[in-house]
Amino acid sequence: MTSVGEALRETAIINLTGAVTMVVDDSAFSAEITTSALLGFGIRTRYSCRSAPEAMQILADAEIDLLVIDCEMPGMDGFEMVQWLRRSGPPNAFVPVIMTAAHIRRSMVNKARNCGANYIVTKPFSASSLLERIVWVAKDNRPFLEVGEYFGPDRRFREGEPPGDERRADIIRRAEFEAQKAATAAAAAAGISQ
Amino acid sequence: MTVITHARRKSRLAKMIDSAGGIAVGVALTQARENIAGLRGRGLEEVTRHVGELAALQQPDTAEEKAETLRRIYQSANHIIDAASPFGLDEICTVALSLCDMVDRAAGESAFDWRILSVHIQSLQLLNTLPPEATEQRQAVTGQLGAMVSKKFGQTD
Repeated sequence: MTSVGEALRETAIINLTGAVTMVVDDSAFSAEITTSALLGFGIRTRYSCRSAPEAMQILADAEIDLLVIDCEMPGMDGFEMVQWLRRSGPPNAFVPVIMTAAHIRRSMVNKARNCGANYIVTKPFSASSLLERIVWVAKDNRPFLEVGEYFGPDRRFREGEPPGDERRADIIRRAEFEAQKAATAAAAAAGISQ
Repeated sequence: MTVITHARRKSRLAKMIDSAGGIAVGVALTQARENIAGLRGRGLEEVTRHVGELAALQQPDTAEEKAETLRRIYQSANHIIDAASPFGLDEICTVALSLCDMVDRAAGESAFDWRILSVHIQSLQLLNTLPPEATEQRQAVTGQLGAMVSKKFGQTD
């Protein structure tokens, strides 16, 4: 999985054309910025809602593949809506959710942590950060946990490497590939300098 | 506390992202940036509109008015960041973000100095009228505002 903050390769191919996407933002202009960026990625936003209740009505029946939602909205805010979504059962309880925030109040930090979103993107808004997060949440394979009030992706990120020798086949293959690439590059450089 | 673990199935998004077809990340980003750049004029209009709304607000007299005024300031400052950040209006975003911090602080303090909010709003008005090439003046505005906040609260949040 691409790690958080890791830049995407410009030549990597992504196919998001069929993604049924919902954008929820009380600001029509902000929603338009998001949908314009998504369109650039090949995603035609299916639902663009100005409030949480409007979105909830649609989500009760329609299955979506990605939700991009603003944190700060009058009435029901984005955190409360995501919390509702996670408890809403099929078809959307496990859908990848990216939240956007211009600013998070100190009193909202716990709410943000506990709502069950996959990722919160703080502004300034950029196309590259949004795409990185979409790719990241698409490949986010953390299990979902139900703990007390919380229902959402496992929030425990492992720091550092596991103890002992590496045993994961894909990581070993990647390390071998990288070593081989470095050796080839070194040999080529040596050839040039001679 | 009981922990129920739901094993994660691959999402439809995960399946489709690696499916045949699609576009290169570089192309996707170029297209997205072009689409956003096309909204620049409207973004600047939005910033001007919200700065105007902030400037029109009066200092509240009652607790109810205070809560409502703070809510409106916070909302407008949020919308300014929404509209300004995609177009690199960094100083405006910095001041709007500081204004959000101040509102957050004011909500919890009964004797908050409202002049701080007024100075932020005036700074936004000034930044919004300065031409893009007035880099030094823009930095002076944010620098002086930061110094004021730092002096008032001991640190720049």
